[in-house]
Amino acid sequence: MKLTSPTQLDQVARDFRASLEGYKTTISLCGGTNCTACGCNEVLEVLKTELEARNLTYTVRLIVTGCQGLCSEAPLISINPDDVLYCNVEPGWIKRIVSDTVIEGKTIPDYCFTDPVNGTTYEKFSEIPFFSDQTRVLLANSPHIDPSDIRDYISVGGYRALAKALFEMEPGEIVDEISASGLRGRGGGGFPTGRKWASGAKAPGDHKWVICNADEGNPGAYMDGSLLESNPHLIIEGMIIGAKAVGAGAPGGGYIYVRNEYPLALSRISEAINEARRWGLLGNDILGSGLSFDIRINRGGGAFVCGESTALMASLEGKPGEPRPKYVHTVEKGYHNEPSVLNNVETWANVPGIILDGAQKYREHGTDASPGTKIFSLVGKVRHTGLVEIPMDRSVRSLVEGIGGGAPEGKKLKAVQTGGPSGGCLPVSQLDLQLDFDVLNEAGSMMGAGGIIVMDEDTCMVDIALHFIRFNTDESCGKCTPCREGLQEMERVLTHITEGKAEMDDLGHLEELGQWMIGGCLCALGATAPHPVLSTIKYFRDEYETHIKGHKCPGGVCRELIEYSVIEANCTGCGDCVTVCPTGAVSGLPDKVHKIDMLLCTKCDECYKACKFEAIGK
Amino acid sequence: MADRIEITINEWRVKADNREPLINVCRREGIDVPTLCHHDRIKPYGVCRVCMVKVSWGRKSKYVTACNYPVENDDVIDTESRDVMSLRKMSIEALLGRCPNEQEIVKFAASHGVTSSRFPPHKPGGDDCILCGLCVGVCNEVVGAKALGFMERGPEREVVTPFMEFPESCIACGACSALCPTTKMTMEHQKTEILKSRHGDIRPCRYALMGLYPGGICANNYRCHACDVDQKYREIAGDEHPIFIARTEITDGGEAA
Repeated sequence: MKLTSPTQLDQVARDFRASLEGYKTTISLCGGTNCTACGCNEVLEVLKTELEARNLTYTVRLIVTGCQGLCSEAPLISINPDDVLYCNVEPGWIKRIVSDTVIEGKTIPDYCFTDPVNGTTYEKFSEIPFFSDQTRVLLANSPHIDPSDIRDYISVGGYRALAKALFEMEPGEIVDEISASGLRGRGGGGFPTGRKWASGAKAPGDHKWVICNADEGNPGAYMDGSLLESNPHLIIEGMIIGAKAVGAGAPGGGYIYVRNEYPLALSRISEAINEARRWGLLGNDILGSGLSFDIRINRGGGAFVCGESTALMASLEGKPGEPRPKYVHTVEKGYHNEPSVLNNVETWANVPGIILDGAQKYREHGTDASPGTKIFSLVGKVRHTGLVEIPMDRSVRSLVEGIGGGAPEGKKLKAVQTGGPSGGCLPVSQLDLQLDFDVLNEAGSMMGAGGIIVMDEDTCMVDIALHFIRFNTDESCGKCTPCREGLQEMERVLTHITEGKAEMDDLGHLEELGQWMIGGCLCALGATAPHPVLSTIKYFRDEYETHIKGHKCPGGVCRELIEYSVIEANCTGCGDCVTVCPTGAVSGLPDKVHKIDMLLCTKCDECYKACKFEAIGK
Repeated sequence: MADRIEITINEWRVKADNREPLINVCRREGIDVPTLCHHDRIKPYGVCRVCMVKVSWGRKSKYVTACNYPVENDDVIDTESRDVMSLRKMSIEALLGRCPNEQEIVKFAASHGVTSSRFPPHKPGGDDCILCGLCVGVCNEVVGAKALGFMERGPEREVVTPFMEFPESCIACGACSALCPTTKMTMEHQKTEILKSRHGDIRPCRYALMGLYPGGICANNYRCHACDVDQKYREIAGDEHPIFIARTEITDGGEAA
């Protein structure tokens, strides 16, 4: 059915809620990418069969949601209204879950989340510190709604902001509201969204475009993919509001540039667009307001640089995804040289909330310069990995040590990398910094898209810097000299350092290369690529010096610099290391101290891993 | 008529058209801004980063490439401060490291005070291409033959013909080899003969295409190696320019056959 007035939205919501009244329980199975990889589809099949066998299909509502957030414990099942979250669910548990929790209403503590730090078991979903410490605004509905059913989104207040924007606000008022909220672009640059929209609205032209950047390529970051998977209509609603604000209605239009490596996000957003068209929320005369606007999807070909605005638009036009100089902004001349307002998925997702509740309410969270909440994807050597949404006035420490639970296995934290492969590494002494766009920039790192990679004491910072430089070298388009030649040169020098072949002058050379790239590169990929190197030299200079002067790798990572030796006091002569050594470099009689012949050793690390008595040193 | 504006270059006030490329203003005023990837007839590509200059507005400043930066009123431009020079020298050093055996690049680098490079070449003996994009630009925009393009990305990027095959659309005009600052673009006698037989003798010559010769069609119908435009070009570029070496080879081979 096509909705032709805003009052019909309320009717849809009422009807849908009425249709749910028959259900006593809702089981939400997480169907995010991680849970799918961890086997949620098998759980789903067993669950369906079990509910059918017990004749519960009319009283129990089973939905597959998008990512619920606690990805280290996948697959997840949440059961409402009991407010229970079961972690690491196996198909064999389903019988007991259905009989005990669904039918009898008893929580099974064995399946609940147990904190590995203090061993506390949390029987209530909302009491788990990982969730209760967060401020979930954008992700609030993700664990509860079925992303494939538009009515579910409408029933929790969806498309109300659109109705308000279409019928109660002028385009200028929408832009003013966004400006007043202080919303900053979530894709990395942190450019004020309101200012971008105002230039878009002012730019001359009949054809204008609003574009959503969902080409999330940072390794370890997946908040945009997760938003598209769990709540695609939120982004569509934001884009329609943006289209009205800047005048991108027909004959202009909208594009979502999704990376092709997100098959689930791609299918969910395509389905959502089709559904929105069926319900009259996209297409001609949206909700009877006279605004015509449609969104098309463009699949990205897997180039990291296409997250850069000009490269993205070149790619949309069907040209090679290479950036061009931005002396003329894309908001004036972008897609096909027409005004194009490009925002990141998360930025668009913020729009409906600001329009519905007002800019003042939005400013309640975060700092003056960086208001609102931000989704971080917390990965690496940290106990609880997953998506975390917190206001931007929280400190890095509260995110990593509080919500993340610190490094696992009793290891010490060493550094936190923010902002993906182009961000910097912050040492433990800097962890009290606020997660704010400007504060992170000043510290030599950046907010980026919100990827947070945690590193423990076993990490070698030179190796980490080399890893990110390799990533950027692979992803550089090779168009401009500093990015193409500078990254290759940085990779060469860093490789020398990890192999112990470098000299102290090379550090100065690296810093000089970094300054050259920051000043001279054509686009932001090259200009931010030296950050991992410069920040590690700034904060971990001693580690570089140990590599160069001492020919030692303090983290025990750089292969060329490792010398294995037997710590005689600890060796019991158990022979485990002899068994695993593939080249026969380790030898020794039973119950006698063993020896390692470094001429034969290939540094495969197997003996070190096999030793139970910490008798192998490196 | 474009609006006239005033900008400051190295503390000189100069007049310019609004949003005119900065390099045009500099050249008109006799201020030397070196480039390796710019030609008047081709849309600025802005990749060699040798023409880097600094633009300031009050306390804010930014490094831009002169070849494609559109000037605006009251821009304060600095083309020779230390930081600008160090960025520029580093770009030249990187390109010299990439192509240590290309005489034009060695000469260019030496004229800017760069005689050695810390960047080792990626290939033994060095590369023969600095990826300035002049050949691709002239072939696509001026000639319209579209017989050249870029392949791969990052370190593997190189200039190739479509699908790395003998290009069907090439008209053997030689514009790419005339513009190429290195020895990457050369014309092979045998292939030129094939292309000549396909397109005949009457076709636009490279000087006409590049705007160096006003006549449109070459008066000498391809046997233009001795025409006075060629002579003039020889005076500017010298006998040693790769194009003349390539030309001599073609002619000698052609007459012998």
